[in-house]
Amino acid sequence: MADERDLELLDDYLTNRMSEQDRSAFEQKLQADPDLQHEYALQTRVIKGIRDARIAELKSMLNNVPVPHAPGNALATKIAIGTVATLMIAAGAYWFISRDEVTAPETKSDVEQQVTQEDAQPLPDAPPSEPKEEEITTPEDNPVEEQNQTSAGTEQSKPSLAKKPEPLQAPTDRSKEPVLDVFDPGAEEKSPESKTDIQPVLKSGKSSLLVETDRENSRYKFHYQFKEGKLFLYGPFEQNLYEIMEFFTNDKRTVFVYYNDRFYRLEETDTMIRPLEAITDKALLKKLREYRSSK
Amino acid sequence: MVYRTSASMNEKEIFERIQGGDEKALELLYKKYYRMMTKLVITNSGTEDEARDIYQDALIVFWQKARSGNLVLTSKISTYIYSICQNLWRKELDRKKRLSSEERDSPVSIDMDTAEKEKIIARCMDQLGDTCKKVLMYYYFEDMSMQDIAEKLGFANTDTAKTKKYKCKKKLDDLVKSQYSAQDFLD
Repeated sequence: MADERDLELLDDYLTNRMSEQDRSAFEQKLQADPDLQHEYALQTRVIKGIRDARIAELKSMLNNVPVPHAPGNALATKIAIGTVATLMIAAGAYWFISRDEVTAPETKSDVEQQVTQEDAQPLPDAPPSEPKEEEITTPEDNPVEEQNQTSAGTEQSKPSLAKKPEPLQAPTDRSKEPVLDVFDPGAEEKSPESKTDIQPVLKSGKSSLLVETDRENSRYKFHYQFKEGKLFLYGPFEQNLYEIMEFFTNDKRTVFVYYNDRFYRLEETDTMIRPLEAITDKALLKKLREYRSSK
Repeated sequence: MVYRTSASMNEKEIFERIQGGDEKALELLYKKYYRMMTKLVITNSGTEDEARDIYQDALIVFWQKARSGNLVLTSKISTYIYSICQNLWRKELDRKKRLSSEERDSPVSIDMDTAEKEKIIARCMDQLGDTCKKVLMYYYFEDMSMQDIAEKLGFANTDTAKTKKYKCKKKLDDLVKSQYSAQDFLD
């Protein structure tokens, strides 16, 4: 009959709370003791049962979290696209009617381009076995290194898991693209080099812009405003679900918001409340994504 | 040019909250990356249900590793979770392939004994009080120390937590053993 001390050791053994040396000693003991082996078999099951119960509990919690519909359902996507297009036309009409609130016509964009799911981040490198949980060094003060790792990972991703899914393109009205002043975060002033090059960026870390969100506003559902040195976001902006990106060139700051796979440029010349309008310019989007993934 | 982002603190914050056992942070992560992660499975011959399952499983793996202190994360959280999803889905695809070829060759046999025993243990877990369940889950799944468990659950000290864990585990073991005996008797 396995004694109390043996059972304690067994518990430590099964939960990896034993030194390597003690493990070897215990294994020898286990081999020589059939009662202990019987207890070992039982305890392995019981501990698995405890772990399974916790996993079930966590899964149940996650199942209760409201999530957006996953992509891929063609019919649902078409209906969604149709609905979005209709809403955008209505929003455009609303904007047109309420023009006294918006003083920057150059940012007008009538139809939001449906951002396709392929715009998600590039596939990381698939490790050959379980993902390594041992020390991986570099913290976020080596963004260039990390960027190299990410792009290397993209090239090496296994062919059995597709790199890019079929693109889902919404019919868009391209006749009214934003005309003015497309901000190019990669370009230096009067740089003779190609504007598509990524200029080396001095990463200073955290954005210092103070942000307040108003998720309950009945009038403004997806708007922003600069006021009293702060950025106000009106809409479903839960903490950690959006990102503020600031670019400083000389003494000029340009601010973008990233939310739900889309980028929005912010005008901070006055304190007007403006609707958030997704950026559609592909080159700019590419740059912004690259910066986001380089942090 | 200088580039600053609000996200660099957010990632660190989220990870620290997860390490500290903040389930709300896990929910936030779940929502944040739902589309990205489920897309991986759906665009590789999976259904939405399978995608959701794989993503939840991956997130729970991440949770467990972060909670038990076995993870020093420097790549983005999404990168890490994505690679777990890839692994899990690949295994599942392999399992399906194996299963379908086995079915062709011979009838599938289910290990009734294991399944039955697992059900017994699950039923016994349900008979424990909430605190007992929590103590055991934190100890055996999250690999928390007695000190952390004491703090988390408001016990007076480490010894109190140790005693509680001992009693709860003993109760569970006794329940399981008695159920097993009953089962053997009925078989």
